[in-house]
Amino acid sequence: MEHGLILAIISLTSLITVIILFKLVYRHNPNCNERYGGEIVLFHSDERYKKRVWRFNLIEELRTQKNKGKINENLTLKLIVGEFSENTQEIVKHAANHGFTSITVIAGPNVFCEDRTEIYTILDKYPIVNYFILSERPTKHFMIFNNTHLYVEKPHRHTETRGSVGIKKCNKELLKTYQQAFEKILTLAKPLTKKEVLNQQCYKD
Amino acid sequence: MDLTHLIPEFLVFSLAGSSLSIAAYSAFRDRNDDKKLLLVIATCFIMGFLVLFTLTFLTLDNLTSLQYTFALIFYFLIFMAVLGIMGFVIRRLIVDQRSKDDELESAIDIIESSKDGLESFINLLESQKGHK
Repeated sequence: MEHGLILAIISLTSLITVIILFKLVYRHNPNCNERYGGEIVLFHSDERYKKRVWRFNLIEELRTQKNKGKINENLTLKLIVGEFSENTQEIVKHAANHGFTSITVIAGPNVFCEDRTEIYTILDKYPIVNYFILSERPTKHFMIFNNTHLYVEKPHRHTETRGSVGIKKCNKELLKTYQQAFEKILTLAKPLTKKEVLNQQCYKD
Repeated sequence: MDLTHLIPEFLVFSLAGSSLSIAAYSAFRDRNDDKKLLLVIATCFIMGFLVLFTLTFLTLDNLTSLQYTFALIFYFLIFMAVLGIMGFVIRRLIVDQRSKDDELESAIDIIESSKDGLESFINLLESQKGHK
């Protein structure tokens, strides 16, 4: 009788421990901080694929929400990048194919020479994409997804990639800072048509 | 059917399960919640092992005092090993949590350093425009 009792106690404790472990440990528990946002993800410089997938998923998520009627306004994407490179082109194309109605790209004065025709194609195919260039290559790169989510890159040179941070449900104050900066930079940027892109300055290797 | 006949099989299963899941945990390269799941599975197995192990201890009888002493030593050692595995799991969880906190910190650093430079970049652009 006493043995049975001990066994029962041990079994119960084990069962409870296991349930607690499942509850506490195995749950989606993203990094979050009130001052920054609801879900903060850090990407290391070598995680190129992860960065891409995160942004692609975010774009798809936004479209699903829009289709379900959870988002009423039009989907917008604002980017400031060093140059309209292959990575950026993929994001822009993905967004354009997933119901985004306004995409604004601000980049530095130079592009990679081989990208010029591709940019021409994008501007030709998607009239919703607006391309602006600045007189100086911006060092602070970020993307604002539909005025709610933010993606910030660590400053880097055009020849390298660095770590970056993705923030879902970004803090309003923080997002406002970036929004305002974007609007200000936009007033100082020069719009580029698809024909001008073909003659844009490019990096000489 | 007597429960005691099942004990050896269950012991082997649970021990193999826990060691396999810990091995899988070490081999899992992607750092995410699924990796933690393997630790939880290992804990489930080891808890199951612990229950069975106690059961075998309770069903011991007809032993001489010498046999009983050896059995006790054996039980003690195994028990320590089980505690060791649980300690490993807890330690891994703490280490994971710590590296997660570090990641959050460096993410915040990136955001802050990016945010701080925005204004000066705008000023630079404005002054360049002024020159032209």
